[in-house]
Amino acid sequence: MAETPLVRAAGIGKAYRGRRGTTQAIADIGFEQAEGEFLGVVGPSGCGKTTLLRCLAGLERPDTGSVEFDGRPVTGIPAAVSVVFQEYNRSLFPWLSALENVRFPIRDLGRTAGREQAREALRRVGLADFADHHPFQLSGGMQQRVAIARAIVSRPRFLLMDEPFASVDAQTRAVLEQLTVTITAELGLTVLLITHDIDEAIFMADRVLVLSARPSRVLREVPIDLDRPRDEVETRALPLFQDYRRAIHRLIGSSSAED
Amino acid sequence: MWPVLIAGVDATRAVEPGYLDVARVSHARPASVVLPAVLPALIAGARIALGIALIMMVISEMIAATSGLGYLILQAQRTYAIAQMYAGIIVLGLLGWLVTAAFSLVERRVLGWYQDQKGIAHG
Repeated sequence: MAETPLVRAAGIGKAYRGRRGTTQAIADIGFEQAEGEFLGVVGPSGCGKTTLLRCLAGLERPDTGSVEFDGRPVTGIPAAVSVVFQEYNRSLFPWLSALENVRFPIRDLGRTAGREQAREALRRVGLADFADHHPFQLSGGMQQRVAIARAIVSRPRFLLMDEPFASVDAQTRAVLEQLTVTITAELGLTVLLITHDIDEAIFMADRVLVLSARPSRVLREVPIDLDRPRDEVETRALPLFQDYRRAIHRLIGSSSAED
Repeated sequence: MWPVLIAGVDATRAVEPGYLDVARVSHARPASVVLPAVLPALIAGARIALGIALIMMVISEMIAATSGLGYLILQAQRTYAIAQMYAGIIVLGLLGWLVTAAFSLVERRVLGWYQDQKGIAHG
């Protein structure tokens, strides 16, 4: 890559020390991500995907290796980074309305300006009419939309998503995938999507990082050469899509078989 | 005091770690999410404390005071002033009811979201 990458991870390793000894979650992960690139990360379950995300977001320090964001090493949580967490019912605040949840990251902006910006974010995810609803009054899919609105409200440069659609039903998932692809393209966001769903990663990403089973390392980087804008039905029906699918499934299958 | 403290400590320990993560990536102080999250427990503790406080007040007046409602009730009983005794008891009951009603009003204001979510009837 000619330009300097926005995100650069080198040799990240992280172990968890528990009562029964240490578990090496990730062994050695390194990659670079260019500004505006949509990167998908897939791997078998329990391979430390979430740990990787927490290290990238600055929520945890890796034991070895380093993460650089915009040319500077990540020590705290960079201001231009935001995260969509896996479970909306653990990340949305039940005591705040949808609008106030979305306004939370920009609460220092002042009430009027902040609300305007939060409304704009809610509009983008199609929830303009639900601003005053509390999370429990919304369906699961709608709650995750609120979480997405909250993640984009501050106009971050780097959006991290941790299995954002794992706890919604298949149809809602398809809708949210399409929505996310559209929004992030509109905003020109750099996105890193962690998922166990290979199809989802291929559909959404420009490049897919395939991780091995724990302790994980990068098995391969697969550039996804599918045209944009992508369509939930048409893109998935393409022969090329099926080829990517087959290739990545084989990769992960062979890595698990070695255990 | 103690019910509030114990409920508060317990609830703080049980605060959803996800809320704290969101606070951290939003560069907010942890307290800004911990306080609202433990508020229902604090209020529940306060409700218990309120009952205990009222009971303790009357009992201590009965035992060791020369004025107050508890003193009045006991004194009336000992002097066979039955009407006065019942009057005292009724006043005491009304007092308890009033304090609880006032408390519920406050609770409704600060914890409306919680009551709605749990399907708790208003009032």
